[in-house]
Amino acid sequence: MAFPVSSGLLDALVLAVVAKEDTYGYKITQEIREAIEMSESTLYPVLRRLQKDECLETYDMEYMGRNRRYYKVTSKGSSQLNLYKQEWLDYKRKIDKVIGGSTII
Amino acid sequence: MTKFEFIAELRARLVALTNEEREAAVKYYDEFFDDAGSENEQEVIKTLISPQKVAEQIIEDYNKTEKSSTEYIPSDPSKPINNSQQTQNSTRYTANTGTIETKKQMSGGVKALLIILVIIFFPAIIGLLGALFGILIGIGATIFGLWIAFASVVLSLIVAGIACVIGGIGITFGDPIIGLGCIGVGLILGGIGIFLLIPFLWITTKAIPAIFRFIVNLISMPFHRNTANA
Repeated sequence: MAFPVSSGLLDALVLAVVAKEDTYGYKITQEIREAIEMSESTLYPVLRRLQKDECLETYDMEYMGRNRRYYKVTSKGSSQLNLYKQEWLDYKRKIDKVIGGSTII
Repeated sequence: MTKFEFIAELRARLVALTNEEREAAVKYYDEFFDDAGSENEQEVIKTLISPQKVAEQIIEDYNKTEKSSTEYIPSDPSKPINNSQQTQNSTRYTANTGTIETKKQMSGGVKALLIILVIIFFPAIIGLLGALFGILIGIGATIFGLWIAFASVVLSLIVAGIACVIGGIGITFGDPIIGLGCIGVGLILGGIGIFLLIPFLWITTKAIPAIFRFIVNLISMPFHRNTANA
């Protein structure tokens, strides 16, 4: 892809995926990989950092005889996500204005 | 490589982290393999590239966020797991600033070359140092001379002023007009003297010590440079 992914954008994507429903690492990775090119090992440090920043919390649930760690967006995480959403719209509008040429003004 | 081997190596490479951090990371990847399904095991290993790469990313992030850790845990893939290797450019992680500082040490060859150059140019250096020393002494003497001159002007103004006032008081009894004139001149002279005392004191207490400190620093600089950088 021509456009590099910033860590802010990655945080926003993770928060958005987890905000839809509580989910687990593998699933988050797959969903994000639909949108951007990302190595499978990129996600864990992001999840860890978001946990440290109290934007995400985890709980374990049994699944087919084993434990699975689920991630959940905290209230701080969801306000962070709203901030990211606003900034994204703003960013997108500005980029479109320049890149979209005469069609969007 | 199997999932089991991958996890085992990952755990070994994360040995520098706290137990809690290490087990959380290992658990994450253990689950990751399980969720991908055993039929995709090799594909997952392929996309993760290597346990080393995964560990590297975790440690890099750990070093960025863990302000309480005092030691930098290297994440250089070329280094073996036992990170006791010492290189000439020592890299150290400082906990409070979160920056990595690199100190370069002078190599033996450069040192030897410097010594040879010093020996070859020794006579010239002596001459130059002598000239520099002479100039500095000259500047110092000039400043001292000016200071003495200034001091004499201030002192004579004040002394003359006081003398005129005292003399004037004496004369006033005989000839009041000349006497009062004398007192007036004395007060003017004394006033100018006291007025000049302010810049004089400033020069004596602030400017001259500063100039001398500067000169002393200039002279001692070549001798202290080595110890300051060592």
